[in-house]
Amino acid sequence: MRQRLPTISRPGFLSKGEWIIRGLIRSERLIPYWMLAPLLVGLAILVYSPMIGTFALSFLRYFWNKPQQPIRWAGLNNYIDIFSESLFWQAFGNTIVFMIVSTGLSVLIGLGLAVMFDRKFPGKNVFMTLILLPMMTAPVAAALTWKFLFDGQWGAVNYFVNVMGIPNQAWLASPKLALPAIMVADIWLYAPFVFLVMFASLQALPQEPMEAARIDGGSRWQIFTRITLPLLVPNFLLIIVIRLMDTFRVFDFIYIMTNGGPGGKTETIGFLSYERTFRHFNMGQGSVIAIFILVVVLLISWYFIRILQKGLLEQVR
Amino acid sequence: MTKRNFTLNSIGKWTVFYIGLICAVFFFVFPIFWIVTTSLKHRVDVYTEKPVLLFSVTWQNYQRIFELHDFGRYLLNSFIVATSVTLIIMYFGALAAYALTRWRIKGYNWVSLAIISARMFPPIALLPSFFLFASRIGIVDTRQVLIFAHATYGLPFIVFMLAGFFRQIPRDLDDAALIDGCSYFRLFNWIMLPSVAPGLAATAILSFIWSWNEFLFALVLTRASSKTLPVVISEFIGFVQVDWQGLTAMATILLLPSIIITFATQKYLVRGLTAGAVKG
Repeated sequence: MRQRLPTISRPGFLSKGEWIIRGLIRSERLIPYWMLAPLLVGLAILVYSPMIGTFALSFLRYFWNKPQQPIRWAGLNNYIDIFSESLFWQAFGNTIVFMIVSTGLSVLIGLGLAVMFDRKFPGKNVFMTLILLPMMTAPVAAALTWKFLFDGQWGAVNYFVNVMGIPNQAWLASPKLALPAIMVADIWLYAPFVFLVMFASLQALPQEPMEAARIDGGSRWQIFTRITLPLLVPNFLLIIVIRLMDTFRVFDFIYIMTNGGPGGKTETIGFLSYERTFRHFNMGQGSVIAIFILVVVLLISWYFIRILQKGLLEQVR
Repeated sequence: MTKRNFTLNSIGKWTVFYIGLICAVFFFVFPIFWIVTTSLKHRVDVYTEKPVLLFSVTWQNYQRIFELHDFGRYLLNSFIVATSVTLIIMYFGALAAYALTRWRIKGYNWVSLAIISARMFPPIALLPSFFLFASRIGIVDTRQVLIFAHATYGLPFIVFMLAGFFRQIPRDLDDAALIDGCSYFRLFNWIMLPSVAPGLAATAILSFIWSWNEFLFALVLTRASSKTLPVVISEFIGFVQVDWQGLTAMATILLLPSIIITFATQKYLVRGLTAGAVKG
């Protein structure tokens, strides 16, 4: 127990109840809990109770724009409705495609850039700053930017495409091109972050294995694929998990760029959940989709959570 | 640290290298350049088939969004929300990180799991019932509820980050202060907070940007008077005739803080991440 000098000067003024409260506040053993309390209470209000609430809502038939209508127990009906709806499965398919392509390409581009920057060349810092520019951009601003660039009439992308000899496209209104266009925006926003993390990990790798391999006559490609890449795997996994989680719940880009159109071709389940809950006022169905998203994201992130927790544990020891 | 010595041995390879690099830079920079310049163009220079690179600068797009669409008020909203969120996250994040790194807490595994996994819960899964709760007690469309949501949702990551900083401060510092009769309150406020100043600076930047950029919470929890910039922009798109001049001006204002911060902190970002990776 650490030494402390008594600081309460005039105890006579305090009633018994006040003494107990003071004891709670000042008791040494409770201090860390008081320090954690604001965070934990906040999380309970914002995250954990709403989680249970959303789960409960998924079993109700509840339209929140009609308060006079009674809230009815729906059992599994919401689940049955959602899972037998073709739009849901279309949205799910779109989300999976978006998730895999967007994650894959942003990781590839990030890694490629990191390898390019892993050497000395004139203007390195300037180039790096320029590539990192989009990193902290607001998703809404990024989505808007690309909505403008992809605009069928006034967009700059059409100009570049014309230069290459392809006629004008109505990118975001085309069933085939809308989802890829959103992927481009997503990659634009997140590849710099992947690049930064991969670059930092490359810099931090031990040099000895590569030196040894070079002395033994390994080619640069061999060294990269056989030694550097395997050493990067842990960082790889982390960044892939982060990207998968983010892309699975993609919302901002869809909301700004296409609103799920044309014909549901860019509908994702994050956006579908929002639509059901806040545009169709159907709390029950919206919550079912929300719970579905939650389960998938938690499955993806389980690995990530364990790693972070291990890190935090180490910091205590 | 010895630098790897990949020498590119011919001019041809260097050329390919720089062409690739310039393509990448073009891809990442052009959109921002285009948005910023478009916001400064006259109408005739925006609505053209061919992109106009040389144009006469005008501020009328900015003037218009401030005068016609009451943009200043929402700018102020965004600023107030982001600043409050930053202050709250800095203080309470440091408090929690300090508690987690200095004491052995009962149920430590559960507490840390609760904090870390909170970040994994997607906002869309929390919003249906949190929105109902907030509207039932009548706090929807206030800045306070948005500040609360942003701060709480942003905290776990910051706690994790700050825990690393607190870990580097020797415990002797705590003990010395406590033996001298310093209260825990003063110890934390006057000794611990200043010693993690670099961590707090990083926290401030990340929290501010997080709240400034955030869209989904703001979209659901604010309706009219307390809207933030991303929400205003998203509504502005919905107009029948898309007003690209106004939109690009709004987007430029929304972009500004993050661009400035990226420019100002790029060196530290790289260095900080590299250092973190070295420690493993």
